[in-house]
Amino acid sequence: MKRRILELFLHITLILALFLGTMWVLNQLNPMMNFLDNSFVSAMLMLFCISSVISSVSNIWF
Amino acid sequence: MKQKHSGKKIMIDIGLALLLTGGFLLNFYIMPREGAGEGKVLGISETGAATFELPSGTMTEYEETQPAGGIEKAPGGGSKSRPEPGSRSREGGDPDGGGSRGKSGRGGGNPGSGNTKTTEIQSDDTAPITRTEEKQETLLHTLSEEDIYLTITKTELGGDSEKITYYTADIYLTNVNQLKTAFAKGTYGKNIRETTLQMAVDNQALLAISGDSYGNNEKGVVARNGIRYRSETNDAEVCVLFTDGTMKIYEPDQLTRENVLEQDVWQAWNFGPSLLEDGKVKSTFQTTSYLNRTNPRCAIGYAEPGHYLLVLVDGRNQGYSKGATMTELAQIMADEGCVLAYNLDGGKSSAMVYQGEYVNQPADGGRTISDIIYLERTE
Repeated sequence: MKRRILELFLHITLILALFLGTMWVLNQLNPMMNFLDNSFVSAMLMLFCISSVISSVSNIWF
Repeated sequence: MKQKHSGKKIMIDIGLALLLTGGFLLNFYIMPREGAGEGKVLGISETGAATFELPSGTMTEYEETQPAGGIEKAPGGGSKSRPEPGSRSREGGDPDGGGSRGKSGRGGGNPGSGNTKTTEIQSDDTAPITRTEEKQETLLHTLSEEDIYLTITKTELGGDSEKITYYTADIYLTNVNQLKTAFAKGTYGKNIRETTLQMAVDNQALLAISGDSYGNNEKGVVARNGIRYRSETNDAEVCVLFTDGTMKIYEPDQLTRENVLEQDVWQAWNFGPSLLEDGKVKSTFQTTSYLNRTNPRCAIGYAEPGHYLLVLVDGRNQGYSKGATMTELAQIMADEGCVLAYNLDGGKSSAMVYQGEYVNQPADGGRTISDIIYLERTE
């Protein structure tokens, strides 16, 4: 069970990394569209940080 | 076997990431959403605004006609015989002539906290095209009425692949409330769009140009026709037209500090950058390198209260017009006699409409946008 939850965080990290990377590229192409300055993207960034910390710590710990 | 299974899981993750991206773009950048806005009334120009007199003197040189094919001026130029700005008196307006940037100095680097990451882009003072001798001006339209005096001129600079074609609407008004703005479909909101032509027709506009595309962003100041819809700044400069006919351009922090959006504001646009400083091309522009490239451009200029210029530079059409960099646009605005000028949304958005017809040739046929600046047709 614990392993499954930890694996879930790894998937969340990967999905959010791809999403945020895409937003970063789009924002470079047209900064006036404010792809990164968005409440939803900010929330995703926070989720990405949390999931990254959990994934990393669990991988180091276990 | 395990690797094959993991590969499948990774592909599913990539698919989910694509779904998330698509859903995000659909929701935030494609689906139209009406917004209530703050709806704070700042300054209704109908009653309290300053009034201006139309220029005298050279008025008789123009007839209220539309010259067939325009009146061509000799290459190399000569300026249009415009009314002298000093030849008009004004009852209101900025006592010091207006147009000054009430700026209290600026630091280097990125001054704002938004994500547009505007920075100080060095002005390219080599920009040769705007200094060229190959300049041809064609008067396209003239209108002289009781409360408005308007000329639209086509100017061609340079030749071959370096050619720039731009259109200047030189406007004299008796009251600033004649310079209006309109939202696409008459509705304030996000991702609500129409073409400049559609909006011009819907609002019975005499003349219209594309605005600042406020609807693309979550943040940014929006004040239109005396009503404040949004007051949250991003890191782009804000152009404010007051009900006394003066125009000023503010840094975002200065706008907040001076409570400008509590004053008698008639219009406020949030795109930029500011192009001139006391009528001269600025040495740096508060913009991004992306926006500084050669592109079709749209700008509003200010000469004095009641006297404004709308300039549209066509682009992305080699041999007709390549477009302009920010420096070239600034030079054009300075040459047209502006003391203050502000860049609006360019690229495919750039369009100018006069009496229900496009004046320019919008790049790739143009696009739908969220707002226009226009002059109302008087009966």
